[in-house]
Amino acid sequence: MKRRQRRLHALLWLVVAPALAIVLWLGISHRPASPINDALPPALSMETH
Amino acid sequence: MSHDYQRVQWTPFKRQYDRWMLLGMLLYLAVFIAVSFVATQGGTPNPVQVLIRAFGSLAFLMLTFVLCLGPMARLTPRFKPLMYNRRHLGVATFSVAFVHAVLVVFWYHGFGDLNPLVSVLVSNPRYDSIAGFPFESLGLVALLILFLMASTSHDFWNANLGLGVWKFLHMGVYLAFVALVAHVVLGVIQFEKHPLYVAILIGAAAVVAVLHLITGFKYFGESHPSANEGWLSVGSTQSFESGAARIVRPKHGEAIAVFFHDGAFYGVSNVCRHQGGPLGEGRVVDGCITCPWHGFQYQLQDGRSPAPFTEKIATYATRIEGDVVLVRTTPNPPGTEQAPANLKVTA
Repeated sequence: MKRRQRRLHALLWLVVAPALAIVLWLGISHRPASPINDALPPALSMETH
Repeated sequence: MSHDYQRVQWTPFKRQYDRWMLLGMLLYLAVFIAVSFVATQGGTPNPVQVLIRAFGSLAFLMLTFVLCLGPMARLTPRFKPLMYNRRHLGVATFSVAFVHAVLVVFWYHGFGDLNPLVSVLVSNPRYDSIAGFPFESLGLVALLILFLMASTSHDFWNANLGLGVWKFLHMGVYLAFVALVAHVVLGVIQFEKHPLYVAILIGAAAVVAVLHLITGFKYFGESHPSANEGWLSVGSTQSFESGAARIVRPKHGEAIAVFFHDGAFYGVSNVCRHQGGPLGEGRVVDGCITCPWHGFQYQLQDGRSPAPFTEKIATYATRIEGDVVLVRTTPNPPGTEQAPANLKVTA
């Protein structure tokens, strides 16, 4: 890989890794404790179908 | 390589690679479906929903594996053979994700008044909620990026877009991975309470991120020695392995690979003309430098691909001083014949 691309790749992961961590933290910390179907969006809930 | 475009240039290795890949995929699907039916308590699971999850989880695991291959091959040569046809794995990942998407669209959105594709985008407007976020849109983003990459994975696009643009386009896979992780964490993880799902998701994301960060830090930690009167020390003559190279990275310019073959030292550019693969991590096969990524070949003496191929890389002058191999940091124009430093003559 060219030096420029390797540097870009290395710098990119300094952004991507925290982005992944934030996405995971947000998603997991906001999981509802209520029954399963309450958490489903309308299109996926059993009542809709 | 470049003399002509064929749909796929099949080799026995590629066929074997694809056979193992398909076998692995079928095995995963079979085990997932069997376990789903055996482990479900209180009735038989819906077969379509089982298929949706089987294809969805397979696509996620395959993308995770594809993203791990690059850094793993840089850290240990054991994984290099898997890099040869990584694009086949990428296209297969898109195909699996596409099956997952088709099943979801028709199963969850195919029975209403709205067009199923419109329904995917408008049926859940809760963009202000985390637990109820329309995670399907994130999956769609990932799928579109994977489609773009799969459809441009052929050498035709590589050659016509140019290496820089093509590489930049394919770095979009990282955005696809972030979108896919968000799709999973805001989707199935919101209503599946078993800790195994969370553990697999966090584990996959952590492995991909840590491997890329390690190779990134390795790049920043590399030494870039200054040349002495235009010549750079590569190492002692005994430090070379026959048929392999040592790589030096001068302060300015691209990395140089110095190959030792049949008692002589050949300096060439470390960057493959195909996809920028690290030539110095490859081997000499049939008298030609062979790129570890996709097997592109170059002649040692002039950096030209053997006929009928037309790729050319820069060559560099080498010499031996005492026991030390030196390489000139100024490249010759690509394809220029360059006499190697010969160990036998020096000795």
